[in-house]
Amino acid sequence: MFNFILRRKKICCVFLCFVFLSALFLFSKIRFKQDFSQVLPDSLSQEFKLFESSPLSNKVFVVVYCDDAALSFSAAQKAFDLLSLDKELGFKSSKTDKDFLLSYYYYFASLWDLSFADKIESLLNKNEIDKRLKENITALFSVEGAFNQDFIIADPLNLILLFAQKLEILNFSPDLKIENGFIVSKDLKKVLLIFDYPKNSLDLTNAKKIKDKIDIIKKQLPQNVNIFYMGAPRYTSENNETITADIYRILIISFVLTALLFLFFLRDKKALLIYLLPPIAVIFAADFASIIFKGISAITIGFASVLIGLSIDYCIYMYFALKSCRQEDRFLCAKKMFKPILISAGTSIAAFFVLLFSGIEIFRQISVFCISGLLFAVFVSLFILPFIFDCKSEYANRFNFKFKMNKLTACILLLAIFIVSFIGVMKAKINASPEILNTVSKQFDLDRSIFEEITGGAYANNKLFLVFGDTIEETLINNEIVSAQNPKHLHLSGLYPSKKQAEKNIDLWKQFWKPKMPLIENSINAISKQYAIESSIFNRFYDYLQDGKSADDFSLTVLFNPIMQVGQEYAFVNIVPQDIKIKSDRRIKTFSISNEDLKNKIVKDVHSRFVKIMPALLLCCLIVLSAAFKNIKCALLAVLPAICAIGVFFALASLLAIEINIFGLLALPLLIGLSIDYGIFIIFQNAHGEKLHPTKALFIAALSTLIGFGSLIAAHHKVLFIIGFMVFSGILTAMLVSVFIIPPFFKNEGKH
Amino acid sequence: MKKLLIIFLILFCISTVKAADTDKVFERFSNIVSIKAQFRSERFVQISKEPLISRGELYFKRPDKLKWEYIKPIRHSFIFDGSKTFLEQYDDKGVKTIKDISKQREAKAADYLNMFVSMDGVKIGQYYDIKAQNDGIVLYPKDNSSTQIIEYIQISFSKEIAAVSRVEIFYKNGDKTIISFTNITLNQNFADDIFNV
Repeated sequence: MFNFILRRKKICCVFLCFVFLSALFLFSKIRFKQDFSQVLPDSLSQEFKLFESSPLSNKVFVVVYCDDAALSFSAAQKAFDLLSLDKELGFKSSKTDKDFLLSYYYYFASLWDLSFADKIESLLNKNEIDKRLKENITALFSVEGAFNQDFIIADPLNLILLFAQKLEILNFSPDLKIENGFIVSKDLKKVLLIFDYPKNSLDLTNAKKIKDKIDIIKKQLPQNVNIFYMGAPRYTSENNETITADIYRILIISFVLTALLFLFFLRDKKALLIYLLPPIAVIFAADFASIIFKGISAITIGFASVLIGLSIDYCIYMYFALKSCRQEDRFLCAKKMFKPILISAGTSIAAFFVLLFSGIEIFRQISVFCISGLLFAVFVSLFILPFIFDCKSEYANRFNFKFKMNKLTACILLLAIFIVSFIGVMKAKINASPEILNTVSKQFDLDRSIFEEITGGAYANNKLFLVFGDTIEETLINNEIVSAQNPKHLHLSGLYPSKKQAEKNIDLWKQFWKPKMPLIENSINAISKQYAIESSIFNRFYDYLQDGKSADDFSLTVLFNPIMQVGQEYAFVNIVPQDIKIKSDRRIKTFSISNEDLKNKIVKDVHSRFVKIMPALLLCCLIVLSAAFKNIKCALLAVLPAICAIGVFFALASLLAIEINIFGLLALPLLIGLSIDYGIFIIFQNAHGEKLHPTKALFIAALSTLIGFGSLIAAHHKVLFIIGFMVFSGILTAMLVSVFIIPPFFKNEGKH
Repeated sequence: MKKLLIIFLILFCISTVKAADTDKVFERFSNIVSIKAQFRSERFVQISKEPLISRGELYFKRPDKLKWEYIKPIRHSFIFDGSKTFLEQYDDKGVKTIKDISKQREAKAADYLNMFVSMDGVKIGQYYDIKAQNDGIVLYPKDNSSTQIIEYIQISFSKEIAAVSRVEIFYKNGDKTIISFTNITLNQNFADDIFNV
């Protein structure tokens, strides 16, 4: 193989350049997905998607408040106008303004029910009618009457005030009320504006635009008025700010430390390739995974760190092996490295292969991504680097540790690590809820507490109760049936009737108004005559009372759309308190889901899968190693650093009260993949001697990983921090176990 | 190039003169501390053959106190005390009731009245494009959205004193409101009690 490449050196170079450029081009075309549901087990990702696409999602909440209710109101009006008019933001507002109320008024016949008949009956006497008419005529004469004229003509009896009461059904929090088209807190000092946000909530550019707009509006409002927003874009923006600050800090730390490592241990131009080649493996892996999965998740790309870590290890091992041999033995020496590198890669590939069967989409991606990247890294290490690195016939091991541990001490230490690890695994706090992944500012926490105070924790305390149907009409009818069985808890059907129910309601409306018409017409005619008003202007009002028909095609979905499409079906989303039990009809498909339920299910499911996957991963590695070494003891010793690394990570996390989030769990295969290599290295060192496998190589490989990814421990963002903490604690343990604890177990056996 | 420069300079001069004109208009009103006047409002609306006429009195005190009192045909007042707007009504027996309408649509109308009576140039400029006319100004709403009901507003000033003599509001639906002011007294000292609710 080496001779084949050597004879066609130029052709191979051109071919490699071509392959690299093609890979780079493909990489630039990759579509990165930011879908959190991929992190969840397949069974739960459907539920998560259902929750995510519910009518409560993709909303931006803007809170305007100050100590003066009137000032809050006028500031909210200004903020509402500025946000609604901004076409770039694409906010869709659902304010109950004049036009909305007028349309709702003419739609109300479809929502008519007998409870309103009782309320209105008491108002329909001559005195009350005259009083209401006079109030309206007074307004017509005054200058400000122009603002209300449409309403006065459409509704001379001020019925809208009563009709609007039905909209209270949409108020999911007892701490809020609707005041003049706005949702306000009970003390009227805090105004809540709700906007539909049709764009991707995780898109940073959009999230930044919203933040900038709110900052601009804040400057335009009076000084004592506060404004803030909540919703997914705020999380995106907050997370981005933390991550950006973290990345700058970490880059500086890791660059300085890597430079020091290079200057202190390597000091060789060609050794720079150790750090430059592995990123190419990432490009190939990303291309391959992207072709298989039609785009890859940003989380998968985060696993590039594993790939780079492993690739660096292979490069370092090859670098020191070549450095130790003579020029004429270059390829012989390289050949000797085939087995250790292939076994290292084989165990990692086996570990990642297990992930293909995890039932979690993101694991499948990570599996394909890492396996393809590892194959490329192995190819580069075995077939390209031997042509590049220099042979110097140096014995590199300046790390002749004077301290040699005896077997008993090693056993005692190992036992201690196992006990501590067991306690750590038992005591570790695992928080798999998606919220823990957000790292936000103090101001955000302050704003969130105000938001929760005014909404009465409506989002946290409520659950979604979904009623399904094959068509929208069937869904509405099904919802009416289930609502009739739960009249105390399901009220939304009163605002969203099926066509069949709406027709029934209009009939009841007509029956109610018919006998009242003479009294109403006489009163209006009399007062119109008194103030010289054309009585014919009220003809539309009479027509509406008599036929109940709405002129425009209005629906309350403009305010809140409870219908969502789920595959081929439709679902009506009811919002009910968390602790309520809903009776449901067996013939109708229903489903109940809440934020809390989902969180608990995620924690339970992810946890149980990990309990199964992690031993399977280790077992798989053990099988591969046993087959490669043909010695079960060597195989067990090789996986020892990985087991200790995981154990110490859990132990330190529980000792330091660090919560392990879902990414901490996701990244555990990373730890296995990286630390198992050190065990394999020591096995080969014992077999072939320290010249070809110097401890220095292991030391530099471990240090490179510690610097590169362990420096994430300096991050404030919880996801970056937990990966950093895991790599730092785990790799350090794996390195120490490999260098000090494994060798005593070979003492009496000699080389094999 | 020279021609372009000259055209640019002329355009610049015209716009400066215009701005200066409107600035001067508002400067006239800056010394007014209080106003007391009678008004007559005529609303020409499609829903009535005859104009809807109302009469009353207004009281204004700088910076932002206003009482707009209708006496005929139905007695009621709007009182704006700088931060809140109140509606004062009387029933058939003359019993007074007061409602805080700060958050209602009428409050916006009361705020507009206050703006025009005081001739607050800064505030008017926020909502309207201002054009100077022989005896006053014409205001065109900046917000031309579908919710805007006003086409334009024509304000005429008194020739004798620094006061608004007539406001004509033209609506998009063809309706019109004319408010004319008489017996205007400027800077007369009257008690704050008049604005109390």
